[in-house]
Amino acid sequence: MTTATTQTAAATLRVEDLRVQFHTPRGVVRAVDGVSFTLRPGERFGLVGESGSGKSTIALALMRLIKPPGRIAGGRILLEDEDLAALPEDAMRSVRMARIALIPQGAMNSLNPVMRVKQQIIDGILAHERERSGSRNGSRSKRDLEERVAELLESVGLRREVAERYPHELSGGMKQRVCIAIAIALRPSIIIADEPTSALDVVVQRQIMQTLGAVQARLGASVLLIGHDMGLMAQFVDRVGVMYGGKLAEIGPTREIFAEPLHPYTQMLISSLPSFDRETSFVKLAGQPHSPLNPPSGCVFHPRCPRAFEPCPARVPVLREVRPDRFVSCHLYDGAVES
Amino acid sequence: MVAISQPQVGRQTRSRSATALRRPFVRYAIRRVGVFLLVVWAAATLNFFLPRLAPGQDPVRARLGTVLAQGGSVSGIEEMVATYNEKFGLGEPLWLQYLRYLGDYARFDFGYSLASYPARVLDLIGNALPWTICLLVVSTVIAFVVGTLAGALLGWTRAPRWLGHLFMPFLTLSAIPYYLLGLVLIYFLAFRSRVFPLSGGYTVGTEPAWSWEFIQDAVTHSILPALSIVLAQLGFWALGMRGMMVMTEGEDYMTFAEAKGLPPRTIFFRYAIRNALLPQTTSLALALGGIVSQAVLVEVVFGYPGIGTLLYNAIKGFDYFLIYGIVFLVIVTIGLTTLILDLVYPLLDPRITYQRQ
Amino acid sequence: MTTPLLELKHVTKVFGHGEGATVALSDFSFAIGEDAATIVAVAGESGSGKSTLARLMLGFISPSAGEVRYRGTDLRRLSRAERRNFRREIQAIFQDPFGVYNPFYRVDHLLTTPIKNFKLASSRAEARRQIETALATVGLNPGEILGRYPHQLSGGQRQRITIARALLLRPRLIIADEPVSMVDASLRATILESLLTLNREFGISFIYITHDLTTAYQISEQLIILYRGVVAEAGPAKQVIRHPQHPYTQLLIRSIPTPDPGQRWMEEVVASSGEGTDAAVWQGCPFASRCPHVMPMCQEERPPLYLTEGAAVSCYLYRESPTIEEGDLTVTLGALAGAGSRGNGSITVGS
Repeated sequence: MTTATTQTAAATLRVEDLRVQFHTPRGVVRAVDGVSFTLRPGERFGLVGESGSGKSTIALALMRLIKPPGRIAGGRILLEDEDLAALPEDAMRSVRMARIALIPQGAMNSLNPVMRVKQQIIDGILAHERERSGSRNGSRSKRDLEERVAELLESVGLRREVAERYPHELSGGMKQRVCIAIAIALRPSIIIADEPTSALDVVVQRQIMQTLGAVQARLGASVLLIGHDMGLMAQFVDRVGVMYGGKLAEIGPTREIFAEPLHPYTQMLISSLPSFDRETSFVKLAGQPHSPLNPPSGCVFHPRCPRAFEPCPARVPVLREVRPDRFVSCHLYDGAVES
Repeated sequence: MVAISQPQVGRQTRSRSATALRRPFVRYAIRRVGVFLLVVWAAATLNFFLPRLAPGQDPVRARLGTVLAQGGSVSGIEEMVATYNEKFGLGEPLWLQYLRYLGDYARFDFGYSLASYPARVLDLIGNALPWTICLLVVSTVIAFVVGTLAGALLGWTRAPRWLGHLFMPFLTLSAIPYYLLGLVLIYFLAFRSRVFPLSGGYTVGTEPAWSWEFIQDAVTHSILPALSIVLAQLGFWALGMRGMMVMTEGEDYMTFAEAKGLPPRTIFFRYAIRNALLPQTTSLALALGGIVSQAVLVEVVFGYPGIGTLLYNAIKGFDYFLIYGIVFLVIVTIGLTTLILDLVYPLLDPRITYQRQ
Repeated sequence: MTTPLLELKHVTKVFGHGEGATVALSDFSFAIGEDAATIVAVAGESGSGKSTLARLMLGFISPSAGEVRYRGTDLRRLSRAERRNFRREIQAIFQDPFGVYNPFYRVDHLLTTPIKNFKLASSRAEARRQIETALATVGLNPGEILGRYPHQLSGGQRQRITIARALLLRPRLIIADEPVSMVDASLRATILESLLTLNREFGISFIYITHDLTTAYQISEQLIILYRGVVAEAGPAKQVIRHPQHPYTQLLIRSIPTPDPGQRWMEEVVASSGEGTDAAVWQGCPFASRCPHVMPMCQEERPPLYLTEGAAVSCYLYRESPTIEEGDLTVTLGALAGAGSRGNGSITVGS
């Protein structure tokens, strides 16, 4: 039997059985409940799901930014054989931005409103250089730094004068470009983009995603794109993982998943997507997501699943490779496992 | 007036903002100073007309009557009435009196004190003001700095645990009025244990002078009243700042700052405090502006020779001209601090612009 | 023609003045009649003027030029009684279903208030019955909803309660400003379906304001595309989306990522959104600086609306076609809809 944890040898990031729990007065919420996947060198990997599926929690967990009452309750986050989940906070701080960078949700609020763009890029760079050299001023002169800021801004399609602006003087798209510039400043090997275009218009969204794609190709970095829009996933990522109720329902190459989704939830998601070509454009997803405090037994999707059968309420399905590079967590494929 | 600029709307202005910033500022500053002068003029005018509206009330004669009733000497008073009649030209028409009055007030000439004639109101205020400024401004600023910092740490999730125990004492302190706190302090530290003097700004019998002994004496006298103000205000600043910090910590830019791998010290000072401080600054300016009116209670409790005691005595002794002078001063101070705040605020928060909506 | 329910006549809205002035909506004319209930979508990016349009129609702001008329009377000159009717007949649904709730009141409060204010029920029992019917119409179980506090409800439930609230007043027109942009995809369909129910079963017209052409396509009959305060293209929704004629509409539709991995969405170079263009743009077509087909004439004068096959398009590429007055947009849309496949004015949606 092959499990997701051993899928490929080459991996930039290997997430194994990650668990994130939130301890609330009304009980424990298992926001991420045993998730495993790998991020291959230079690939674009997507995590897609509805709100509450745990996808954004994974982004924060990989950066080790889960705040109480939440905590990483188990699992490993292996970045080049170093377990980030077990790293002391000081060591983790030097990993952030330098090796794993985050592009935050495009919600307009990610930049400090009272600092110039320039300062917000430089403080990140300096924090890491000081750490490395141990000196207070780092190695470069002010002019070198400003030139580097200008180059970074130009590389994401902004004019260099933007460095002197305050965030409120920029449009949503420009702010998100600044965030991309910050994310690539230290040439990380992994970029996590958490709904980077959620508050942007479609035309701007496309420009931002094209910019992200271009800088990623230049750096050779891997991108983890987190989102809810299947259309965006189809256009941007090479492989996609579908999240439901804190677990991965399915992982596979994007083209194959859209051509032939295996998990009933993925099937539902894809068939409900509106299309301008079809007249029938109004398919509802049956049922509601369960309460996070009280997940169903067995497979968490079984109450909504049109193809549920005897084992579903009883046993939790395991994510298995049922075809080359296609992983599904569903009892329908219990017999189809390749040996 | 100051307006929050709208990001989506200002498209055209944005490109020119660097060069255009100065000219709107000048226009705004002129307008704002104009408003200030208008407020001061209105206050002065009210000061002039209100007593004259009261039927049959002549403050000079009323005072004279009081003194006579107490069997006091009338020689000084008669002289004063004569001076006033001449000075104000009480026989002259009202508008001429008004103009004369405005001219005097513009030169901060508030006339003579009724109670301690021939002392001039301005001199009395001038003697009392340094005491109030030293005591209240200094203690308010100390309370602000210490309270704000403590509040920032109280609201900071990564601050040491023991700091959390400060919350209840702060909450309690902020609920106690400072004159009450002052009485308690006097009882324990001055009356029972005699560590500090009971009251006054300096030892009775000494004359204010710029000597080392006198300054030491004055500082010793100011510690108790200052302590009562600092302790009572500490809670207010700490609780306000704590609330702002909690809100700021929920902002997206805080998460992003952490994701940049910034050390906690940088995040605390440059991201959290910097943003949470903005509303606190407004409160500080208002607190400083209202200092003279705040001074009354604490100075009276401690028998401190500042503006508060002066005002208290003026009210007790129906010293109208002194009251007018102090009230006018209070209005000018409040107007001046809000003026400074409005002019300086856009430097603290770049989102505020000088543009008119 | 009878007096329209709500009519905008050459409405222009300018925010600010002097150098910082921004034209949010420019010479916009449109009318909603009463004879046939319809759903008109107004779509555009942020800064297109679509939300300004909603606020103008609701009387929240007044036009800088032109008039917004309710049953023939300028909104600024309504009598008390007329204003009362206006407040009942024209309802609004907003993007954020959290914002309209007072967290200290049970949701019942939100539903009983309009009944009391407009004296819609003669007794408590009657009021209760009306509320239950309205909730059931939007697919909610009254027993699960009534008596609860807002925080105990999901976003989708809250948004449907606001729809039920609007329904209680039996309005003629509901202005829905981005009603589904904050809810999950799985709930989006449910809410849109509630809107359709109100439209079909109660004859309520909708102005559906959105940045999302997909949902506009799903529920609207007619579609108006706004670009920087100006109508770029208008026509039957399916026609405009399947065969976009204005270069801006074409760009918008090509920019939507589709679930088809063969779309080549990442390859095509997209013209920049024209950051920093100044007021001079207003002389010509506002899209000229980004348009791949730009001609000298585009920068001189703003193109009128041309009546092409199937739509009204403000673009000189179609200058061979007859022009239409912007005031006649309503008539044009009506005629276009009549000529289309769905002559009865209702839409077929569903599987």
